[in-house]
Amino acid sequence: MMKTSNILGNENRVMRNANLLFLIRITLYVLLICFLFFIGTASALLTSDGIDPLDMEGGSRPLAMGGAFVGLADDLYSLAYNPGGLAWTKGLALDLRDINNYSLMQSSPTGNGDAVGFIFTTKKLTGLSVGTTEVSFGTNTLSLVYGTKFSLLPILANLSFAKQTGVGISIKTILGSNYSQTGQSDLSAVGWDMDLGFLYKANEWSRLGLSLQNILPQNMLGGGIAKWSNGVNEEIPANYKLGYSAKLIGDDDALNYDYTKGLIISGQLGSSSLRTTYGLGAELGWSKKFFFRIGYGNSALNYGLGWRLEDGGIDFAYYKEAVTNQQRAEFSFVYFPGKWILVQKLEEIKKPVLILGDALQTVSIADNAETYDEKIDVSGKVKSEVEVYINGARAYVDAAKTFKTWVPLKVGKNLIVVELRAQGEKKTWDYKVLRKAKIVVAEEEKIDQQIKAAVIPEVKARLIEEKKVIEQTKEKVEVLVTLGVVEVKPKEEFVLEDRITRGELATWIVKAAGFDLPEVKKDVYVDVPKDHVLAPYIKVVSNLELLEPFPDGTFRPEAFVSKKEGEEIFRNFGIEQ
Amino acid sequence: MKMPKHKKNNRRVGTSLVLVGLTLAVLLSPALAEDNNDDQYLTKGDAVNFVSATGFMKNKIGQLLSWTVGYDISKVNRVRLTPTVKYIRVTPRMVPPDGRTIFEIFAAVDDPGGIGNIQGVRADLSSVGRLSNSVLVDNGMFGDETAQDGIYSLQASVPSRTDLGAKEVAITVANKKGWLALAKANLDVEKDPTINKITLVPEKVKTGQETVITLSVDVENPGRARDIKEVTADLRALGYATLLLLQDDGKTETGNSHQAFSLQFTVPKTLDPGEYKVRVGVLNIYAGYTGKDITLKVER
Repeated sequence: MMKTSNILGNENRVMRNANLLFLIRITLYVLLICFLFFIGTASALLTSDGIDPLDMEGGSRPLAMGGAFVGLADDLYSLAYNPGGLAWTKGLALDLRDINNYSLMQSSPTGNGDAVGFIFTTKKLTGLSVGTTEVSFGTNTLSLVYGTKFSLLPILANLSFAKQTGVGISIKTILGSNYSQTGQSDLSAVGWDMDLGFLYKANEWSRLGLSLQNILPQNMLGGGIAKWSNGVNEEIPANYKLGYSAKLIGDDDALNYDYTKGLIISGQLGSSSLRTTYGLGAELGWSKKFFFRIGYGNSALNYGLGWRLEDGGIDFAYYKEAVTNQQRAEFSFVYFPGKWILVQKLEEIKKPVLILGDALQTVSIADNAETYDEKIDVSGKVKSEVEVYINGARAYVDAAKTFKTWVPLKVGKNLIVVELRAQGEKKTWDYKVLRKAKIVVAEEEKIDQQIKAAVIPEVKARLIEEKKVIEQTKEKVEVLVTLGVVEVKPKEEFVLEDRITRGELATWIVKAAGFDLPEVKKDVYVDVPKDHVLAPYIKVVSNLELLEPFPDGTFRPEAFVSKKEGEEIFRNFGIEQ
Repeated sequence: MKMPKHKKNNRRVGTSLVLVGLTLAVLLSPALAEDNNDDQYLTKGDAVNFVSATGFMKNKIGQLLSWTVGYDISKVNRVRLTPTVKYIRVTPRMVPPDGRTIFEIFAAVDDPGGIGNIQGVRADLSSVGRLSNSVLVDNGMFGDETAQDGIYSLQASVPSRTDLGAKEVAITVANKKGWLALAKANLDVEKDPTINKITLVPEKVKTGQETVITLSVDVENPGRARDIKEVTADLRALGYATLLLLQDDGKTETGNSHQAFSLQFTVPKTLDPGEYKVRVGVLNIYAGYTGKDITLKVER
């Protein structure tokens, strides 16, 4: 059985590798053909200044990552960078550099595995120069974008490759452009072109993207050109970008699991008649809320910050603008509500649209929970057609769509991962649970009885104060037991007033300080042979001269520690009585 | 005046007891003193307070109580909770869509909490036109051989409207603690029998000799072997006027749905050298038919 699964696993890997190689090969062919056909024919006002009138790329997150977003395309900025990623995105964004440079975009899933969106961009480039004259260029552009997965085609519906590959098309229009040059009359232009994008999710944590921008041949269907008011038609330069990204660290779909931290890297190469570009980017995340981004693009270091809430966030980028070579700052405001679906009526007339984010209707477990129990109930209700996995094990969902089970807890930190799977998609919810060791302190019961029996109010008040002290110490014992510093056998009472032996104290100190236990090759003392259960601990405290042997050369692990000796030991750690 | 002897002895005993008492008192006095003076020893409560106050311990406690540190994949408890499906057996492997031929599913299951912790085993038979949550039993009835042995059984048939082809049957096992295991088995819905093997002994004969040849055929029939209606050999190329029926030799060692058939015949002396095709045909009671050729070589 193991062998079979290994063989199957190897076959899957081989298949995936074959798919990847196929995609890379196709990509290279496409790039080559594009270079041969489209590059090097443009020459006019804009191209001489290095301006692409339909360049709609922006957004603080991609810019901070050096513009290396074609291979990432995991949010609605795929509208501008790579429409191949659009099928997996949704939301609304406003990017604001200044009053003359801003963009608004929206992406909405249709509920059928595809999405539609738009971008409206206003740009004004100033400070350009042609010889001795100064040039400025302003443009308003609108793009309508559609993205889907190859699996939308019935013939490909069941192929995993098709489910993991997105394709998108963007129709871009110049609503109005204005070109001003000192000493010459202003010119205006209109025109349109098209982008094509592909995004392949090679596996859960890495993606490969290809974006073919402005691909219409000159004058095809009246597109591919900017029509100037002086009658000149200028070809809009094509631009081809190939990118890759990897989610190296994260809690979901990442190469290495970490609940609190995240790291995404991306890189891309691009070429057009205007310039050859490359970009590298990285995004570091903390607590899924705070992000630091850094990238290298346009021969400059870019960086930015991000702050995310459940349904939205704010991003900031400081980057170098490609055409003017000037440093710029940009803010982005993003909003991505969970339930956003363009055609809500589909729910009524077709198979209900399942949003995994809403599929976990109720769950018994709470995040950041503390307990003394050995196990925790995990029960709840889900929507139809949803499979429930808890810590990787599948839970039984009954006809009423409820599940009821429990997960054993280890003493200390526990992470409960509830995962819902449906229609090839999955979503996880993480719940952090701290199980503290439950300790019974003998003095607590005793003082409770005394309080109960006390008649004189002053005595009772004093006993209550004493109980508070006992409770505080008990909490400390619980923590020490939880951390494994102190060992208390099950059902054993911990007596605070018991004297501590030298052997016990040695283990407490070594475990608390986290000292490495040495290998004991010879007897430590005459009464501590090398195979004594406490020998490594006693060797450590002896080497550190924390606990001295007796004058007769014995250690006497069972001897009690005097108060004076104890205070002396902890004085070494800066603790005074 | 002399003291009586017994009084003298009593006095000696008394003196000895006093001396022993004093000696014990002297010897035990430090221990008694120790026991009565707890204040000079460090208690566990004191030690707990001391250890908790150290810098390294404060740091560890801070990390323990932090909700943003240390909750990584290593903190997911992977202890096995789900039941397991050890194997699934479907017999026969091929079933005709006749609505009456019974096939059986056997699922051997286990659970970390023991077989008694199994809540139920179900099969999704929707691919063969039956219920999607058909129940398998381990009660020694309805085809189940032994009760409570962890091998759950189900008997069913394939309705006549079912399309032919390979079908997948999903088996789910739930335990009483709410965990689920899933396994799959395959079942072929077929009408036509399969000829697994044909042999001619000998394969070559000399012309002019009346050699006796044995034709053996191993047939697999969907459902039961006994539903094979007839197995024929077409020897007309060898000069025989009609199809010859093969004799039923009973079950083969390969399985219940396999059946062996054989026929002995002679090659006419007058037969010219050459290669002659012998067609073997198998017909079953569901009107399923299959044929396969074997070549007989006649040499000089």
